[in-house]
Amino acid sequence: MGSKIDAVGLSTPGFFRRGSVDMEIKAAKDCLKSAQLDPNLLGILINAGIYRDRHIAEPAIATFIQRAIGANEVFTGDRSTFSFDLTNGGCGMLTGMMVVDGFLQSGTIDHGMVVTADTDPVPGESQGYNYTPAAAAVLLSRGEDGAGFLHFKTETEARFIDDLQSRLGWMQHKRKMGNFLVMSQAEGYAKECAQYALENLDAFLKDTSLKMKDIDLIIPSQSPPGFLEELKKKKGMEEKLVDVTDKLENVHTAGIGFALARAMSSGRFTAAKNCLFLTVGAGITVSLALYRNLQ
Amino acid sequence: MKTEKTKEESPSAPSTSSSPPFASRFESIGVKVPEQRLSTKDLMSGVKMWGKFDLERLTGIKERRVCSETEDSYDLSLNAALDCLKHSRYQAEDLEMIICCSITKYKDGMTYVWEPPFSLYIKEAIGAPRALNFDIANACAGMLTGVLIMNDFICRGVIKRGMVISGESLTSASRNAVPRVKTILSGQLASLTVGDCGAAVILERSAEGKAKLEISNFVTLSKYSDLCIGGPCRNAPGAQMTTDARKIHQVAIANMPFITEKALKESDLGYGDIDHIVPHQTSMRAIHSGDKRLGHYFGVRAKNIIVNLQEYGNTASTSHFLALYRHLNEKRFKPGEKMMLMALASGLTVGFVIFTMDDLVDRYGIEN
Repeated sequence: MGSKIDAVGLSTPGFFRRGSVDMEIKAAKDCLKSAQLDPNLLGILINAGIYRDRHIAEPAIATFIQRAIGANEVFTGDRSTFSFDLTNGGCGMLTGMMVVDGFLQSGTIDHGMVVTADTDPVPGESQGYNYTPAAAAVLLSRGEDGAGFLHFKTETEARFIDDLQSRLGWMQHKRKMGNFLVMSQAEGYAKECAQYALENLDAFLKDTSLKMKDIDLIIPSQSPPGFLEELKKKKGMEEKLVDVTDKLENVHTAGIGFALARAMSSGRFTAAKNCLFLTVGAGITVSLALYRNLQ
Repeated sequence: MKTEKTKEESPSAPSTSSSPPFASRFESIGVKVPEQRLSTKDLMSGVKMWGKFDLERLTGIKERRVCSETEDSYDLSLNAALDCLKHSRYQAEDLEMIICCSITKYKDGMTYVWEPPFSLYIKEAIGAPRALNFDIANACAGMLTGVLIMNDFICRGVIKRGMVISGESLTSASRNAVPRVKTILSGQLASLTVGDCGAAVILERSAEGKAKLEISNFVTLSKYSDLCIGGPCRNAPGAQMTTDARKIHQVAIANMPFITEKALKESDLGYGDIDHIVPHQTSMRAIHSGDKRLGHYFGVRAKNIIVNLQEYGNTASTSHFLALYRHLNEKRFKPGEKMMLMALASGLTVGFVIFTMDDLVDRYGIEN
């Protein structure tokens, strides 16, 4: 019995919505509205975003979202919500879904949400930051037997550990001293990501006793730039991949949320029996998940 | 986090029993504290305040450990993980999951790492390349949140063992607060109570009939999420933290009895059944007033409350395991005793991990 996706919410910057937390609140509210779920029924709320307003490290960003959506802000004794942050590079949202799936399977909660957003934390105080500001939220609940998320797998390849780095350090930048964010990406990183993702895809298919022809749809990471193009070079991949880079380029942790929303709105998601989530992140980390829709 | 499973409130409540097939236990604990000590007297000598103020008398903190120039969150995490393995029956390659839970993720000095995940550096350094890794952050409840997540994976049979790690290099927040604290009402006053420490714990599948972790009632009272906010300092290397300590204390004192009661009820225990309580190490005064409030509410005083902040200060997410480690080494626990770790963290997060002490005591002590 896997957990099922009930709804997806998305957000991008607006006139009164510029920060990561504001975008996440909008995505979370839209997600709950779409599922018509009382926020007080959320057992767990996870934030998987990395680049947050002013680099806030404490408290968990998820607690701000919990308060804004009105999910058990105070203890009433009957129900409660537990919030925390989880980061795993570009794979964070899928890792968050894996954790929520676990708590749903063990019967600890009935509903869980993973929210994520990335934005330039302090505009003008970063070097090399180029992700498109965007947020996504995914609501999960317990599914039927043989449906929903059935298998998760994550692998890392530390040969590439230095290929994407993001650090906040005290330095001089434009004649000003401060804690500046510096991001660096090695040439060929996207190609390495795609190569490692495909290697692990083969292993994943073996684990799940499936063949590539059994996969109907692939929800991939939308970054780094060039990753999807590399994946599409493999025969039979292009028609299965959901690519939203035509509308939004280089969305980081929220990328799979945007791809999922597009696949849902076009009907491709519900029509797909076997849907594969394929995410990549710094490390290199590759996270995969098999999601099955009952036909 | 536990939701009420009534038909009216929770239509998707499970139809089958939620009793998990397995249980988990603490297999070993490791700690790394920096050698360098900083007394409260020395720290406060740099603070220019209006009127008299005795931080040591208010908090009970006499000194704390501080990282040297060559130490950071990474060193503390790594050395705590290695110490944990030293006390363990397992080798690093046996670990199937590694969760890093630090608030601070400083590596190579005061450089904060956002990507790749901190846990990836640690797992590669200790030699556990096949372990599933990710980072979580939940302020001072970080390690206990990591324990909660890993316990779920073990109880469902997904993994057999894993390590939860944290390395808190927090004293840059103290250093940055020194010139800014001018009155007792300063928002940065609480930054003067923190200390540096690394801690690690291995969780494993508990054998049938053996002691197990009872984890219950992790709650976020998010109405109070803005009472303590930490991040990079605007005009100095390292961190800065602003806290409304008085309000946090009020909220905690008001809510703690009800949340504690619910956690104990889920574990079929009474307050008087707990032999040792390990609270989050904030200040002696806060711990004493919390003890008094809980004692009054339950009509019975706690048998023993473990406090070690006199020597270490508030070491954030590592505080519970530092306290456990020290008391294990001093042979203060006996198998069969009921333990309760109480998390209280910014957010505002409250959580409990209850367990029965077992043969963990055999691997700690002066001779070890």
